Amino acid sequence: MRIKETEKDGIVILTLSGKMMLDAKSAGLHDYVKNLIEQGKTKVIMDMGKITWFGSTGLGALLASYTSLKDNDGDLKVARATRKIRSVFMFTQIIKVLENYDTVEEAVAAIK
Amino acid sequence: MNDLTEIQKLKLAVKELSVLNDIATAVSSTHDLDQVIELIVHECVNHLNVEQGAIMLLDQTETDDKFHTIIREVETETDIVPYHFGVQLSGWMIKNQKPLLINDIASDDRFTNLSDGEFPINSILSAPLKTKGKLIGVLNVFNKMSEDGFTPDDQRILSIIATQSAQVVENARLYDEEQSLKKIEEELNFATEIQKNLLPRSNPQLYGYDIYGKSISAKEVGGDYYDYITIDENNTVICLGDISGHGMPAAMLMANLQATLRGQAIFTSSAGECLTRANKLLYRSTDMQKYATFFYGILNTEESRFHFSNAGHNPPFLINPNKNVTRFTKGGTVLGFMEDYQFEEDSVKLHSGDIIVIYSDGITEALNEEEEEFGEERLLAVLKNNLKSTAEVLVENVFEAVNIFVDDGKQSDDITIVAIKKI
Repeated sequence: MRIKETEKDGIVILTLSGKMMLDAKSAGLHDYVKNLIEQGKTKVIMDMGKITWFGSTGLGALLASYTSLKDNDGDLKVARATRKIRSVFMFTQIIKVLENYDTVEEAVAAIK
Repeated sequence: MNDLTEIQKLKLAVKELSVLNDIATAVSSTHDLDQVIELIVHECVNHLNVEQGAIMLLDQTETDDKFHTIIREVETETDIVPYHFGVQLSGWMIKNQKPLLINDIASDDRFTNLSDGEFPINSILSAPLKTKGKLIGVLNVFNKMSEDGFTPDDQRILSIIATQSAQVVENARLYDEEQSLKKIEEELNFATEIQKNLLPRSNPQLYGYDIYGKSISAKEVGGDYYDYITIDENNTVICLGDISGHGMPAAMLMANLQATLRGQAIFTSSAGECLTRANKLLYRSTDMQKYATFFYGILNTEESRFHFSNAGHNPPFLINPNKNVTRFTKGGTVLGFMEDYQFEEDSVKLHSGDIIVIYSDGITEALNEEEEEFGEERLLAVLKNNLKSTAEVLVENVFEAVNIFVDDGKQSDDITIVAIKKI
């Protein structure tokens, strides 16, 4: 999995691509977010449109990132989650707290 | 005059050959890295007439980051290379990768902050240890015991020794690494044993029911867990979960979860309440990245009822003899994510011929060579074709179907299924 970071009006957009599965990079997503928090950046959008595979490690990293951001008065929104990711969000009921938006722009508007 | 030079050259050549021969003979007797280093240093100290010697090895695990250089020394006396000097010396060697000869170290401006008087080194001769063009360490000798100090001939000999022994040191280092890996593997095998002991050894024999469960780990230690807990003569807990991650951390969390559930199951007859309590305990005892998807069911044989609560797990199937399918979704989110979370529960009445199938995502997410998932539809098709089979045959047929589908693709996740059939 690769992480590309861009920033817009103080909101960090992480564009994730590749396989979000059992590897150090996916688990490292949480460390990446913790690093953002240390820099005072606590509003994060994860653009998941380019994720080709989503496994349990990916979900773990996502949940941990969400918890860390919330603990620091921040927020996490997800954009462009694929059908597979949305179905995982559904049956794990994560969807109730981790909202998904069809576009990055909508997610940015929602997090402001 | 010329003759004398020739004789000197010959003597020198003989000396070089004899040093190399001694080293070769000595190191051929051992694979142990520390012993190999000690032998090389010992030979250098003897042949070059110096007080002490040391080999520093670069840590090769962080090859991109030279600043993480770890210095490993074996020397004739302890603390021969003071820490700051060692860092400066290895830094110089990483940059220059060539022999270094200094006969008066106090006046050499390449090395600074060496405390006067107490500093134990006057002269130093170092040569890089390189294999395949890569620096793996530094061979050093200190304090030449003659007035002239180190000579260019000494430098030549040490360089030859360094060149000749680099591969020997590297081989010993690789052997050392292999031994460490073996040790890790042994620990993993131990964790596998722990995990295997957490899984049920047999299936419950309940009147009017046919129950069969099976789990296969993808790696040495997997994250799937299933269990049967007898509450009383009429109620049996049948649960299945998938713990995030693999290896020792997953095994530890699994043990934790089992202890928590077994403790809770006896105190409450409500599936939702049991998960609510287990979730709270799990949340407090695990780090943020760890969670478990979990399905908790209680089979009441007296009322022919199945009570359940689903914590973010793939919804199990209930299939009746007419092939109608119901999914068990009621419950809540994954365990270990939110501390205060009330899990809901539901129940279904079971009739003769009904089959409940609880499974882990290792089945539906099994990939074939084209990276296509086995998926719920294929699973459901196998189940519908086996409605008249025993629970054991049904479960084994699912495993077989997944194996055929995956073919040469590697099993990447644990696979677990539990089938409950009302006779």
